[in-house]
Amino acid sequence: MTMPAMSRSSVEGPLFVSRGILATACFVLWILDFYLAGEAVYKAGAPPWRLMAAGLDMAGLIVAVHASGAATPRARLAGLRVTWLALSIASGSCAALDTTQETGLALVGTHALLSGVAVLLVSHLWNLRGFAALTVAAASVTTALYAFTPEADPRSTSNILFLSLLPGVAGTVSVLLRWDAIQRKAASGLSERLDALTRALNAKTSAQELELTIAKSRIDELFVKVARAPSVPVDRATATEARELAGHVRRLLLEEWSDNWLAEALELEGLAGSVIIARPTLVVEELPETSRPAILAATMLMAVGPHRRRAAPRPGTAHRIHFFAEESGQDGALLTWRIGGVHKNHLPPLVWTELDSLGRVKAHNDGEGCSIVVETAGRRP
Amino acid sequence: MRLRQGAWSTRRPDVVSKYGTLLGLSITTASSLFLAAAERLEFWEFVGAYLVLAAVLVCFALMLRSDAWPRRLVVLLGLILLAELLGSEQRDEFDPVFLSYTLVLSASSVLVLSMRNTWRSILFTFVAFLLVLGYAVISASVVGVRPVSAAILAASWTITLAMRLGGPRALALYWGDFAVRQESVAAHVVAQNRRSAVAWKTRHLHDTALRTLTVIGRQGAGLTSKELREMLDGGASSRTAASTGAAAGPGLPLLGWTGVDIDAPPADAPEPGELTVLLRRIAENRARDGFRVEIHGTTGPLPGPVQAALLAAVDECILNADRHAASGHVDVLLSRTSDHVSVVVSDSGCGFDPLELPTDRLGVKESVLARMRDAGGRAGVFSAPGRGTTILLEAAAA
Repeated sequence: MTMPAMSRSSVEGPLFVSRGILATACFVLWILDFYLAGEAVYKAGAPPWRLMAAGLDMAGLIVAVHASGAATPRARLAGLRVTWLALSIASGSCAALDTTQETGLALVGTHALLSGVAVLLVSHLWNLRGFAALTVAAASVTTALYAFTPEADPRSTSNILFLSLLPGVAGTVSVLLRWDAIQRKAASGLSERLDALTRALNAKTSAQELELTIAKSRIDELFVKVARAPSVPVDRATATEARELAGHVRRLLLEEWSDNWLAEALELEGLAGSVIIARPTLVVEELPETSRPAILAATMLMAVGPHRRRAAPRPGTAHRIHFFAEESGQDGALLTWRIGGVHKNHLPPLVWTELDSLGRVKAHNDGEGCSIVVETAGRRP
Repeated sequence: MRLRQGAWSTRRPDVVSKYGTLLGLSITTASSLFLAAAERLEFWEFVGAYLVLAAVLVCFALMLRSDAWPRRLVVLLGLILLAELLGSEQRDEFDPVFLSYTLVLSASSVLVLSMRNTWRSILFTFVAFLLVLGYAVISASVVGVRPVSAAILAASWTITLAMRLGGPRALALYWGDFAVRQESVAAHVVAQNRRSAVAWKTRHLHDTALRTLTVIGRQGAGLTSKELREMLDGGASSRTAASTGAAAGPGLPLLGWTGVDIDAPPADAPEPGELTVLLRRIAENRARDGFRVEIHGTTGPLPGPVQAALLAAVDECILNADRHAASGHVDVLLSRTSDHVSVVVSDSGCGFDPLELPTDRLGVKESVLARMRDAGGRAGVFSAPGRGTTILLEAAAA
């Protein structure tokens, strides 16, 4: 049995378990930041730079939340990351302008921590290398901006650096631990699943196999009968029997045959009822082997994911998926998923990771569900 | 005798709790070292602080196995004591190591991650929060500074509470999605293997038994008795198949059909020789009175699977033209570029509408189109009623 390569490390995808928790953490830290800044300005009479820094932090937070959205087009992510870094530097500069005896270290520390946690949010859909680089860059900027202020103290500076790096280190450790667990689970889970599917398939097809074996022995008998007296024209009864046998064998073969690989795999998983593959399916068959696992994974996640997230279909709509593949340009293909009753934001984040590995993704919601269109690079050969 | 397990060992931490424990352990260690290095400590303070630190770290380590309430309580009290011993002068936010002092206290927030969904556990966690918050507020007011550390403490507990409430579900969804992806990999592998097996079985049956059954079903029309005998004896069909490397035909004792295990994996080893030569042999075997096949051009050496697929597909095209086209003449045109080979099989017969081909006709669909696709190539059928048929077979030549 052949197995496809399991390594997906090159695919950029959700690094952390929950975007919601990261966004909550950022928001809580921002409230603290804003409270401390407001107190410094209105009670201690500090210049308003701190409030401006808090405003820039909020703008950065909005950008970070957008950059971590699973449905955000991947082409826009780089721009969003750069925007966030610029806002972070601007905010850090405003804060540095105002680091005086009146403000205190709580504000500086909160800002450093907010910046560190926001990196997790901004890098949620990036790879580990990018995340680590952005963590170091953001921590360096935050620390450097503080280090050059007149009030800077080496011990405070090292504390600020520690706080800036803490979320990044914790995030990196969590990602590495999870990847390790994924590798271990993948090794055992895949072989078990393969065995289970193969057993189920064998049980399902054993009746057809038996029928085919019976047909085979009937054909043998017929051939032997004709070979004993091979005169032309063959007598009518034998010809009729041969035609019937040929029709029977064709029917048996057609029962076993599915007209496309996607329908076959979905039926194996018991999802044939919830995914409808539009005909003709010639283009589906022409999709390259390399893109098939991602198409199947995305389709299965679309079919199963919303139920597990308890994202109930909208009233009057059914959670049913229609898949259609059509030619696009010389060698390209346009893949369309129409998902009834589900908002695109309720789809699992992994759906977008899989789709992004196929090509350029466009998605939009409407009153009765959402549609996703992927333009892939090529059909085979 | 079975020992009763106590509260110290029965509470198994989940993955969120374990992760929080590791985080708390790291923050406590780093912040305590920051604090200890920042201040000249009295001997008793030094010894006391490090003993408390050791106790807290041990309890954190034990919490990886069981996060029972006594351990959490020791951690909480230890962190408060540690902050008091190391940070007595540093609770003012203008002190250079104020942040380390606050971090030691904030490390207590990881205890929220050990909270369970029972009222006792929730109450314990709430009381723990009030205890550490009360300490932060009171100690700040005693020194006469703003209770900023209490605000930071409240923020850190709020964040860990969000992690506690949302973490397990988010983790379950994450693993669930991952499991679906794993299942998709397995389903793809099994489906692909089954399709390969079914495709091979279908092609094999079509090219052997079904061909012969069709001839018999037409009462042997178009064949002489001798040709029918040869076909069943493993004559014409078998020779053709053997000479071309395609699947063997049926014959007496029907080894080509009965001797093959239809569940065996496909064996596509081609007969050695250039495609042109092998096709000329097919043409000779298929030719008879009123039916002629002409081969034009050459291809040079080709990869084994491509050559085998082209041979079998062209053979099927020729057979179809013989049976259905009623033209009496088929042209096979071979051409090759440096990396590409194409074969055009055309007749000027009655033609057909490719879109209206019955679904149970396996010849073009399986033996030509699917066969070429499986060999990494492709095939196109161009035909219309009354306008003949052209079949284009293409594949990579290198």
